[in-house]
Amino acid sequence: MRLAQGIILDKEKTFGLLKFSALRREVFLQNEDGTVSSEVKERTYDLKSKEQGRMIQVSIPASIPLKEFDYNAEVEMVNPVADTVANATFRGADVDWFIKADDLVLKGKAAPIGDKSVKKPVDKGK
Amino acid sequence: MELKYVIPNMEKTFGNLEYAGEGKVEQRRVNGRMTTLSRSYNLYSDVQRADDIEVVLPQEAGEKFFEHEEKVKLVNARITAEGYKIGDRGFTNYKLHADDIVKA
Repeated sequence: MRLAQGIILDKEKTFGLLKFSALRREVFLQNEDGTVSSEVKERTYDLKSKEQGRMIQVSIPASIPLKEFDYNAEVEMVNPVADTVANATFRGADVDWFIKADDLVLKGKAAPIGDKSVKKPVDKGK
Repeated sequence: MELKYVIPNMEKTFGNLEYAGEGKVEQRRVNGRMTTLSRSYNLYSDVQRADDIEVVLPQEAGEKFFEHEEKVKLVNARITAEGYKIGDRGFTNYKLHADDIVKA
């Protein structure tokens, strides 16, 4: 089935305890001519997930400043959304999950809900 | 990346579920005898209206009998994903697994 309306996760049951590991990559916007610009679109972080028993990756929009938590700091995702991409292979297709979230915060120190004013895009000097 | 499964927030992802009917039974021959591995059932969701919801229950759950459009809920639901392709393009097929179906 397709689940066209998307999947809303139960983050506690799906991921369990999450520990911060590292910044994995920064994705840059593309210029009109297809070259890579210096403007960051999103940042992907590696987190250790207890329930999944592996490292997971979560992408946070660039309007959230760079997160520099300590290694193994307990963190929490804000509004995580999971989706998949399928790639055709020589026989059948492979599926990869990916997770996007609004923010990444230290556990128990959640940012005030609905406080969008803090999230206004920071002007990155080009 | 790979995930073993994801656990949906049932309320937000599926809303109210209604029983639609039985689906396929997966059987395999073990020592010359047919044994049931899993049974699938179709459900209607008032959130995911595009397709019906196909849920797979393990053999231990036994056979289920409900009235058509009877309100039901799932026990320990989890979602996995597998791929299929049409031509050169890949698509995702979500599979919903649960331990049991009970009356809501």
